[in-house]
Amino acid sequence: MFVVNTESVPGYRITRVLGMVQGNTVRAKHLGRDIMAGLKNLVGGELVGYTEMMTEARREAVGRMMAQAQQLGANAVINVRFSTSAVTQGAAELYAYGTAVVMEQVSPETTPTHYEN
Amino acid sequence: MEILIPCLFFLFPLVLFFFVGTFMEKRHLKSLEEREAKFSNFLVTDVRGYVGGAHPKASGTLVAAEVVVAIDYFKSFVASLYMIVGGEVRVHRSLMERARREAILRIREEASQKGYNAICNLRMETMDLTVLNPKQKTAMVAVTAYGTAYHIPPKMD
Repeated sequence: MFVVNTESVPGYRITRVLGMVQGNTVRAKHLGRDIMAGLKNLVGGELVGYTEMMTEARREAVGRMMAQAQQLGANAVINVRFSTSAVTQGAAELYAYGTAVVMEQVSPETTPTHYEN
Repeated sequence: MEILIPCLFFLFPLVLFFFVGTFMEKRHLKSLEEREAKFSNFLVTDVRGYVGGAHPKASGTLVAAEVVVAIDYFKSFVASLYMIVGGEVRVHRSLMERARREAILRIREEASQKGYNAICNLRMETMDLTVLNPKQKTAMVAVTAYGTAYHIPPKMD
């Protein structure tokens, strides 16, 4: 499946628009990560454990969005956007949304790059 | 003398984390500069369309990267002083700048690894992660950078 945050894919043409698809996930802090983060908070800089948590959350949200697109029979999601919010104290939401479309190859020389989630 | 001991308990971590934090920040800035120099020819724009034209030989793909950063103990103390006098909080400004540069570098690295030479439609998303640790007073922020990687055709001239 193609996933882009632009409105088109090079070498492809949109033949059918299937509507918006979305996926979200809410993550809570992890005790082990928290202890490490607490130490790292004194030193400053990147908190790798939390970066991994955010990456996992983004993959989960995109995965759910792609599953919804697949169910509609789409082969691409265009104009993808991410949004984050703090649901309550101790939990963070990551939300991904985009438009599911059916695309057709117009340029025979194009090698498709399918999004690896 | 009796006043001095609690004073030392307060000052010692401040001095220690001032040196540690400054060292870490300088190291990060140096690594950012070195890595950014490698990508000086790699076009990154926030324009919606494919700037410079997209080569039809490769379809585009989404690239995204996250960075979660926290401020050090000394800088959070400095920031708390800023809260009294107001004005620009430089220690937080530099932290956010580093996080954004790092996130953009990561998507550039991901895109070039996949054989692309440009990114368009760059979007930045930030989230205050201090909600995860309400007891902690130090700032913790997540920055997400995402965009579409594509291939600009070589110029014909």
